[in-house]
Amino acid sequence: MHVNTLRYITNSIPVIALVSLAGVAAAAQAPPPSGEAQLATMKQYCTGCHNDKAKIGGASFENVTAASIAQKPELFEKAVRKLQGRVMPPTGAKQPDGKAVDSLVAYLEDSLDKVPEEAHISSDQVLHRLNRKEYENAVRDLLLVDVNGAELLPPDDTAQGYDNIASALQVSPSFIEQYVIAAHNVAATAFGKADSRPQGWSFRAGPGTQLTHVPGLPLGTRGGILAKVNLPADGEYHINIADMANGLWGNQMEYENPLVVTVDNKIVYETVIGGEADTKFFDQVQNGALDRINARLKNIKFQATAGPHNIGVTFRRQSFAQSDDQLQVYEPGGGQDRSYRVNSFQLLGPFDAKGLSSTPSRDRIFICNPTKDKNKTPETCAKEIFAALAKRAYRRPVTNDDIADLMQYYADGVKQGGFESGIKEGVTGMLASPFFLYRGERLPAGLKPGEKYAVTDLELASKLSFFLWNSIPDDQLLDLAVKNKLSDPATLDAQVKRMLADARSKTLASDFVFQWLDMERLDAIVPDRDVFPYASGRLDPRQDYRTELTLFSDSILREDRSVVDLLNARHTYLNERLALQYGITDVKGDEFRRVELKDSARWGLLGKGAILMAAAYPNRTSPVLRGKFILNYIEGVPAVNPPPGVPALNDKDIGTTKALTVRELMAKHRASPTCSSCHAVMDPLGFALENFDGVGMWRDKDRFANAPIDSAGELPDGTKINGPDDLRNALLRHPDQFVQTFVENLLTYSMGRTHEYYDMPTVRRIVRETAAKDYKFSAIVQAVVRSEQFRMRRVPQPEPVQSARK
Amino acid sequence: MFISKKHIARRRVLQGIGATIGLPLLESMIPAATAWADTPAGKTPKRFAFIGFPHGAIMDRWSPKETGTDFTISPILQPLEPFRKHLTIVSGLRNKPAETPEPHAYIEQGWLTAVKPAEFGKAGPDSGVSADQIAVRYVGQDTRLPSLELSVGQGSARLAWRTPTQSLPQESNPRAVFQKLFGQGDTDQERAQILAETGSILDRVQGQAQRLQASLGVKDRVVVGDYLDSVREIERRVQMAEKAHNSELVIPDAPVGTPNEITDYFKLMFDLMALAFQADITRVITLSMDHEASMRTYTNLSIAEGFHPLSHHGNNPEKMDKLVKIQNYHAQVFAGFIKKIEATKEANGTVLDHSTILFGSDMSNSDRHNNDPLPSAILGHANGKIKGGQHLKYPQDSRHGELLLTLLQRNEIPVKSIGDGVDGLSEV
Repeated sequence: MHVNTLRYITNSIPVIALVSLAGVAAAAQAPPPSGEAQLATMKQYCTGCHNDKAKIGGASFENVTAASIAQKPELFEKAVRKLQGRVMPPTGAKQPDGKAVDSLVAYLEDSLDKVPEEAHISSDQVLHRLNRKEYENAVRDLLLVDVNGAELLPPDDTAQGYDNIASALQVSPSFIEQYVIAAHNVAATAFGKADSRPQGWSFRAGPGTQLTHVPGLPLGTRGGILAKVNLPADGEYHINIADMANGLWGNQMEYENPLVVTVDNKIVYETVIGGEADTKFFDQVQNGALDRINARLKNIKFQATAGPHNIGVTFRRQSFAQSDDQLQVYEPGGGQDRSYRVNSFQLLGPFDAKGLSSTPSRDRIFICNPTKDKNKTPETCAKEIFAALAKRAYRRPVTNDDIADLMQYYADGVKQGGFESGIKEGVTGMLASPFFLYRGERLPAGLKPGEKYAVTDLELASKLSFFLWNSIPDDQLLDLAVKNKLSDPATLDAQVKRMLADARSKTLASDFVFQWLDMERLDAIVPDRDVFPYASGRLDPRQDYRTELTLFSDSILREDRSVVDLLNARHTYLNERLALQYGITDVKGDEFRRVELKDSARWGLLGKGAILMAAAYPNRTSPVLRGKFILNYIEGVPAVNPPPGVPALNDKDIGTTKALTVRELMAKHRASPTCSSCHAVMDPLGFALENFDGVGMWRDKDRFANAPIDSAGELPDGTKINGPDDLRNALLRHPDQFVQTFVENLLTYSMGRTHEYYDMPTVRRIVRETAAKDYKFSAIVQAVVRSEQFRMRRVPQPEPVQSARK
Repeated sequence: MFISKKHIARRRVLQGIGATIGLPLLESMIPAATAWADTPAGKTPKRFAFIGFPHGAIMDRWSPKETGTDFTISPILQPLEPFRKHLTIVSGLRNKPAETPEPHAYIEQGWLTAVKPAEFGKAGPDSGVSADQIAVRYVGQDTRLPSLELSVGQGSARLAWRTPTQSLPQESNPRAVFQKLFGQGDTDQERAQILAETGSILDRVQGQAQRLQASLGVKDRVVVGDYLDSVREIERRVQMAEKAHNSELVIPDAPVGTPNEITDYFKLMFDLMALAFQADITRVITLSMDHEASMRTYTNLSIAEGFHPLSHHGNNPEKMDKLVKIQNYHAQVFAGFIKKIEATKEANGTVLDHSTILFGSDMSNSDRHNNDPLPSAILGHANGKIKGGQHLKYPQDSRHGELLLTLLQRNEIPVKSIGDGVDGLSEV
């Protein structure tokens, strides 16, 4: 089990030796070599260390024959990567010429692809606990309730950077406790409560100025908070907005800020904070001024029905002459606003619950109503309701046992509060059931250990929907599966197409792409205020960068373009704020929209702020981290962590006392021979991006060293590059290397198990097959779905049952 | 005119809200109940509360004139007179290592660390860790919540530092605090119902898990085995909770949110703190009564100026009187908390006997933003290790860090220093 093969520790400086950007493909397309010459190369150059006596790294190639490859595929897959990356033979040792290495790689790959290896059809654990995001999406699709998984459930462990790996999704008592609590909460939200007691919700604004329009709030407003809330009953609700008259000494009161409260985009309350009268209050009355101004922000009442509502507390945008702009800047990145922020507000209610209007969730649940439908007893109705919901929740046809369980909950609930309570308890029980929380695959009877079989159509339906939607299957998928029609190749292709076209597939961008590129790292990069006053604090661009990356990747996948376009596409999605970060001045307003990029440095993933920032430090760029990023996630050559005892660069040297450029610092670092052999390969990749500063903005000069940026470097194959365009073009010369990395990652995400050496023949096959289709995204997904890894399972060898918990 | 109209409306509504938010907790609070602490025989629980207020105190009306046991209570601390045998007033201390030219921003961060924020972590891994969080390491593992960090009012305060770089967020919404303490359900009846429902869920999911297990491969069955183990553990906890539910401690209904009236708000927070001690949900609580440079108005005391501008009193007697009024009011709401935990009996005494409570500020004279001498008062006896009933006056430049160290050491916490505190105060 590889629970601990977590992604390489991100803060350490990786060491990687010579890496070729000359990929696999050139060699792979030539006719397969015979073997003798290639094995001779191996003996000549590798056995100095990898012989039977020294066995360095546990490997010997002394008596290597064609048969050894089939005997030790794991070792030879490793050798392929080392050779592809030109990590071996190490710097300083005698080197074969490039063509000989390409030919050896092609030979080894060809041999490995022919090994009749079956381990890729897993007999390992496949029972998946729903992770936070899957739970969130499942609850939304099942009951039309929006919940925040991060608030409801404990964080999930990851393996190889993915949060959907079955073996890492362990369970502990606190998980059980929180899943049961979550079930109560979700059911309470979905049902509402006709006689609800007053409750309270608090909403806080994120950081940043509130000078621009918040998407979802009425046009003509600026800033504020948009809260999506699911109210428990019809009735009167109150809003209390946080004090605004709280500036020291009461200054900043002289400008009028017209405030509005909206419920579903209708104004329910208006007032003005600041202006002449309030200033006079402060100056002349003083006593009570604060309290009387802030009183206008309290006890704002409105009537609302049960169910989902959008509540907005925002300001009317003023005309240009009145100006909502910042008044003056007295500190970098800051300033005295004449425009207030809504920092937070509290919603309370219902104060006089008047029953329940119909809500989308209730309509979804109550498909049968015994008071309206006189032909049906409450019990019949309950069974009907449970059958419909449990089919989706458990993702299979419902059994008598299922209904019997749910009817027990129903009976408990009826005693407490009649039909409604009965159904609610049943739904709570359903959400806490292992049939909902776990997706498993049944072991068919009558097969021998080691035998392989295809998963059932029902299991296939779940696999597809969790892969492509990160959620439960819909009725169409389930119905096809029940009729055993889903596995029919034409039907399967059609369903994959349909699912990719569905809006729910945006999780491939927001979840898969983010995990593949380790965008979690972005959360930890809080830009340093002293170094980046223009992109920190309330000007922190990270949230906009995330939105851009999601929209950009989604556009490539959704338009079914070649995945290579991820590296090369000339468009992106920007709003005014982000456009200004990119030096583009003709994008206006807060909404993200598609923009064709004139500046080629910004094309593709490597020009995107999210990536440039995630592979940097909070206070400076890091050519090493960016080089490592490209190797790991673009080229698929895993970086190795540095040997113990290697000191990190002292950040204190940066731009402060000694005012060295990052390049000069790195040069100091490379003076050590231990470091130089590897960094010589990695650093040029990162240096090519040096014109992008630590927060992803373009620069021509190092401000602290007062020196121009030097982005020149040389790749291992001797190619001289200078700047992002050269780097991108060098990578694009071997697009198959990038596609191989993409396929490897997509396959891992689709299987929900860790990536292993025996998956490589499949990965290479998919790359070869989809080359003819221009590496179109849908072609790659179809190939993954058809792969044995995705479709097949093997009967495990019997083992004594023991606890998996360490 | 608009404003006054609004004002009337607001007052009327407040009465309505008062009935739903304030009263259940405030008035029907726990009589002399028994606390739930479940500690091994012969061992009494050790509890800590650190309660800070901003803007210091008018020192000559904070410190009593006389020292020793026979002192006349000072005007600000008057509300604590009924508890004088539990009260130790410590005068004359200075928090020199935490002094910074930044008047408000950093002052609260130095109160429990005795280090200035810019130097957190420099003198060692624990430099900049606050006294409450050091206590948590020794007394936090026995309760469901290792510690509870709270604040009254909007704006953020940063008293509690778990590490030199991580401050703990202080919750200001009483509803959120309540749910942290008691979980779901707004009323006693709802909580009982949810507990029962949870019991039957846990019962039934075991049957379902066994059905699921039957159809799975070996390794998957192990996973379900782990799941079942976890379910049984939670079942055990639920049974414990049900038992506790039947104890005589009355848990009030959940508050709706943050009350608009400051007295309701204070009482609610202090009541929740008392409940957390009584129900033994946590043994370490840190509370900021307001944040530095706050603009709160105390209209309940007929003081309509913002707290911060008022604190720059410029030796204006009228303003100083108003400040004393506010400071006395803080002592008064705090005394309500002391009254409750004094009334709660447990093995070998009361909750107050077993508590160590620091009530003070990291500022002295707010007009000049100085930190010398600090207002500090200890309530409680640390299981008999703190005498109580005296006013101690230390010479100029005595160290505030010694006080923090003393509070921990008297509770047998083996810490050698906090900030500049290395010796402790033997007289306490």
